[in-house]
Amino acid sequence: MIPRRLVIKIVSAPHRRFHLYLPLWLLWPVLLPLAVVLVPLVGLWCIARRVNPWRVSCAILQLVGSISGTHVEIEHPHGSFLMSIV
Amino acid sequence: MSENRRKILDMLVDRKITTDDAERLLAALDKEPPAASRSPDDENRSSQPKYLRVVVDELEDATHKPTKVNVRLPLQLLRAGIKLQSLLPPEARGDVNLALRESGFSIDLSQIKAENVDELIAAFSDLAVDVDAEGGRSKVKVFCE
Repeated sequence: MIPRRLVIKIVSAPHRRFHLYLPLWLLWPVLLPLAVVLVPLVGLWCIARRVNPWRVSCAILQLVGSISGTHVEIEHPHGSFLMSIV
Repeated sequence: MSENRRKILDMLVDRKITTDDAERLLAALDKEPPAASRSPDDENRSSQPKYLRVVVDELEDATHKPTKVNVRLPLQLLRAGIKLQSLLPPEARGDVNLALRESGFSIDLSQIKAENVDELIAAFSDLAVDVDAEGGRSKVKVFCE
């Protein structure tokens, strides 16, 4: 499944906090035109490198689709880090 | 009528079980999905692990706030990564192999095939590493779920 949101929380000191909530489902439609522009360039690169462009596209899509569910959480006496892709 | 249902009713007729027992057994039969409706692929898929987990726990005491690590990585990433590495140009693969060897990993990337990923992931279901360090103060668990 394509990731829908990304949450990053970093606490580096009692009063230094960074909290990012990125709704990826809003970002994908924005990035779609960029992808359309990049497709011919990637295709040309694949032909130059003698790699099957279809297999490259499938592998990239699978990579993007498989990162949802990733969760990294570290708590340390001096701070904490959380990254969650849903 | 199924074989099991007939056996239950036969036992009831022979007075080997009571009506309550028969009712309970029939209800249990109704709950159980027929084995034929589940394909071996479905069973394999449901039993396959989905995530690689790494959990590090430290015991808390008065002077020391514990460090905790909780990592969950989808095993699909492994599948996608292996597919991507199979697309690497041979010269780039040689460079990666060399860099891995210099770091102490003598792995030949060309030997990792996308066809073997399912087998590899299925093998992960048995993976469980438990480490007790610092006299039981720290616990590291690596497992798949």
